[in-house]
Amino acid sequence: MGATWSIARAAVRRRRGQTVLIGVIVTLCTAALLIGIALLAAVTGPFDRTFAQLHGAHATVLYDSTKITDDRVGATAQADGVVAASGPFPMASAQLQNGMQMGAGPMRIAGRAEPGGGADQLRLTHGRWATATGEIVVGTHLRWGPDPGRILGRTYTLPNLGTATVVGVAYSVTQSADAWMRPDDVRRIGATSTQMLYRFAPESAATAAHLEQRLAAVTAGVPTDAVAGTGDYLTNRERAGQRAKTLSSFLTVFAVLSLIVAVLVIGNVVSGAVIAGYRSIGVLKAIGFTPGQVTAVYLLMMTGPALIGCAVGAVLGNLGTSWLLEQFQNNVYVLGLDTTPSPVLTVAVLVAVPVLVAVTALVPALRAGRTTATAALSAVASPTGRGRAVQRLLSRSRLPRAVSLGLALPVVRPARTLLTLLAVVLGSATVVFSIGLTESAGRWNDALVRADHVQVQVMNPPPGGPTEVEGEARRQPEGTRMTDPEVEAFVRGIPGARYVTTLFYGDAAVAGITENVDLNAYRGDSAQLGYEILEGRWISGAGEAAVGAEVLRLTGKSIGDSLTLTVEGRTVVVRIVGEIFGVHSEVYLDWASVSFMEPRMPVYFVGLSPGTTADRFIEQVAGGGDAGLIATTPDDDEIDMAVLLSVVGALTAALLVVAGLGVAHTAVLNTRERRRDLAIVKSVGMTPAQAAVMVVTSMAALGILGGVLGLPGGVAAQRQIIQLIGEAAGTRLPQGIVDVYTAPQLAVLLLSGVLIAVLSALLPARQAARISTAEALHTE
Amino acid sequence: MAEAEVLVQLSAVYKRYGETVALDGVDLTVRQGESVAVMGPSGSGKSTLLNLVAGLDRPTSGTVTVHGEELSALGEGALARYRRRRIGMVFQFFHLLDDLPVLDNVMLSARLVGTPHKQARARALGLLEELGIAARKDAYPSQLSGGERQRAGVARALMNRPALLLADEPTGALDSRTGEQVMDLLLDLNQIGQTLLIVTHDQRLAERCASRVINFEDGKVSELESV
Ligand SMILES: Nc1ncnc2c1ncn2[C@@H]1O[C@H](COP(=O)(O)OP(=O)(O)OP(=O)(O)O)[C@@H](O)[C@H]1O
Ligand SMILES: [Mg+2]
Repeated sequence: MGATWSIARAAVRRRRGQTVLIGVIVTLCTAALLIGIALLAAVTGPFDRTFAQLHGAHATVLYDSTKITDDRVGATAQADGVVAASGPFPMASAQLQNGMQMGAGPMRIAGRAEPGGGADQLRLTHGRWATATGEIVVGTHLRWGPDPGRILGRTYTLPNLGTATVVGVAYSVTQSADAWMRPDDVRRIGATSTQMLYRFAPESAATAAHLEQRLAAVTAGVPTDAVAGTGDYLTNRERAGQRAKTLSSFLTVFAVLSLIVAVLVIGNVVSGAVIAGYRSIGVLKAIGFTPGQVTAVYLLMMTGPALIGCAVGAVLGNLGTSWLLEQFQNNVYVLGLDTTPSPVLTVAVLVAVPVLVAVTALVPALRAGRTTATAALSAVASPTGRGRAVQRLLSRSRLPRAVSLGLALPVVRPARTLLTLLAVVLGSATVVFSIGLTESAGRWNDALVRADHVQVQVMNPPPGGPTEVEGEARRQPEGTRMTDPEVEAFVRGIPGARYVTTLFYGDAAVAGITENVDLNAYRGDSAQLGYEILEGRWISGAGEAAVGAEVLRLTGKSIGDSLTLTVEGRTVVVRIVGEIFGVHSEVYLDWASVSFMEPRMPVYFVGLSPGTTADRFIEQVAGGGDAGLIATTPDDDEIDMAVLLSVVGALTAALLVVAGLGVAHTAVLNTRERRRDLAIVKSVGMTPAQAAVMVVTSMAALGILGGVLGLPGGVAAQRQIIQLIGEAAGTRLPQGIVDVYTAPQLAVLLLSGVLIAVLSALLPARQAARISTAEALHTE
Repeated sequence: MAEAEVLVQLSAVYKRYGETVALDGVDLTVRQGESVAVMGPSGSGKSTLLNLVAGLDRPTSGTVTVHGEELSALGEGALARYRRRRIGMVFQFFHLLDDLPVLDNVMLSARLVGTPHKQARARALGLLEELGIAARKDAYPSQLSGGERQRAGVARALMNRPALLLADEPTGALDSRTGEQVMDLLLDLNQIGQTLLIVTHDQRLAERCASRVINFEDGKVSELESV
């Protein structure tokens, strides 16, 4: 073992460039692997996992506290089929004023002494639990934006209690309440009901029918009028599933592609390194190394740096994972992920990656062991027949000599070239795919937010409410209220308003749809609002309606048909002129169609003229009066773009580096193997610059070919996945979201691929240029 | 001269590479303490012969027996062990490992047979001293001159006190003065009883070092010539 070990160690030390390269590639691959798998695991069936972890409540029952005692409620935990329960908790409903909750009504505040319990354990994501009077913990599902920690310490007014300070943010897997305080505090606010949370044996609570049975058993001995309401976990589960499906289909494709690239590059680098040391094999055998020992030397040489890389990668991967999971946690609020990276996964990767490296190294290492000494000793890197033919062909072309020699380089080692090419192809496909998908997601988001069209929205809330509002929002002081026409005139009067369109919300009954549909009636130029049309057109006046897909599906109508709405008791008949993307059971009308409607809380959408910024406009609204108007920018993270972007960005960068290193390694090996040839051509007059051009040319050719071959694959993958995401989200997609690539964009991508290949080849090219003829010929 | 023990015995050895006949029925005996030079035109099969004796290659037919062991009966592992213990090889192009400094290159064979580190180091230093390159022990092969490299190669070959030293054109890559030094080295070795089998083009080397010269032609031994 001693001799084997010392040879391997010497090789690792002396070939520092190669060792570092392998180390870095393995580091990046390990980190990417960990992050990819952790994210995949996080978005695959997260609800069920979290539900199990946190002992989620299968059902919630609200009891009327005036009709039943807490003791009696607590006793329901003994009912047939109940495995565990939490409660009774006093429940109050109160307006906790803040910008996010504006207009959304009162919050459900539960009185819980501690976050644990038999059912629905709460996970504190920020801060601590409420232990003193006047402390409140709020639910993550209220969407506090990318940094929920910032709301800690904020104070709000609550009826009968005075102020409440936010001391924590907590996640409830079934969102059993919006906020939690000490039970006494909740009673003081005015609790009217008592909450009880139940867990059943999972198999006895799988369907709505099951749950109905279980609830019947729980409430069997309770007076019927004491039950104020019931709920179950199925709705939350469905919502979480939808969101996870969107993310996981994307991440799966991305992770799988990256993995293949990583494996290819590792395989290529490892086998390349073995081939590069081919001549030493003969020497080792001549002085008495057995085939097994030769194999061992090459295995050790590769696995040493790989182990170190793997360890570093595991650390980086875990850091990256917890950061990304935290981002997910804060944005994909319904998932409630556990943000600590899994040690099991880390260990698995720490074992799997070195094994992968060893297995990849094993094939060429075994071959090295089997090679006869005489063959290895006489092996001179000479062009194969194929290489010679290509070289002859190229030398007859009119290309400069250095370029034609360079083009012939990759042909000399077809297997290595093929592997590198494959890595470049997949790398290019992945980059094209992820850029395209990110663009699609961005356009999707734009279509929903319509940020280019509506830059500011102004609201005229009823008196009271927050003086301090969230984020970019500003509020006027409360003095004299304005009427609807006054507000519109005021907003129009502010310089920079290109258009002002007023939206009135309402609801309407539609034959064929059980629940009322949301009605959006616009006064002013609503075409400016930039709704994405799937089919047909936008409304152009009274008597027309644009609708969401759900309305068409449920009523069985199509564009051109008339639709009968019942609004505030009156019948309105409109003609459907278009289907709108991204909305469900909503109907869009011109205000003129329903002008009899009660104008409840209108929203004034403002498009700004060029040169006016939203911030400035908002300041002008806030400083322009004392009517209590609120001005804000539209909510702009409908589908968690920030997280998606950071994941894609980080993984794409890692992938590019890995692919680049793979190319660099191939160039290094090619150059090293051709050292003697290079020295010889230089001795007959090739300049160092020409030698460099030769090496760069060879890699640029690979870059172009790989890029071109990868493009269509990336485009196809993007189309497939965005369609899948559309299906998961239950909507058709407008062409604008599917077709995101433009020819110049693809050309730029291709060029950047070539650029990466060229950059990666620069270092070896410099080496080639520097090879001293005398030295290279002297060495052998 | 009393007949010494037979060390190397080739009987009716043929070696073909496809159409090429490299060795065409060679019978050859080398006795303990002999110094045999193999000469002949390029392509006559000299290196092939050496490779067969070293167990680096196998004959197409015939037997090669060294130290009473028939090489064709040995597996790859056993051949490797045979090479470590019984023979030392010196090459025209030195074939030192570029990644190891001279001392480690020389010690490598000793480590293969499990000689304790201290002992191996002492022997290697001793050899380097004798060969006059002790001062270069920490240099890497690429930093040495041709003659120095060849002396390191010889030191490596002698490390495990092989019964048989094989050398394929040991002076072929050296200038005449350096070649002469290496030649003297080999001569000295033979004087103290080292059996040598040397392939060479160099008439002077053959005459000075060899107790016997064998001429090869077209894969056959053409005439025997005793010195
Ligand atoms: N691995 C091989 N594959 C095919 N033919 C071979 C191989 N090794 C040797 N030969 C052929 O066998 C013959 C003998 O070769 P060998 O190397 O033994 O000659 P040599 O006497 O050492 O010549 P030189 O003096 O030039 O070194 C030659 O014709 C050579 O081409
Ligand atoms: Mg020869």
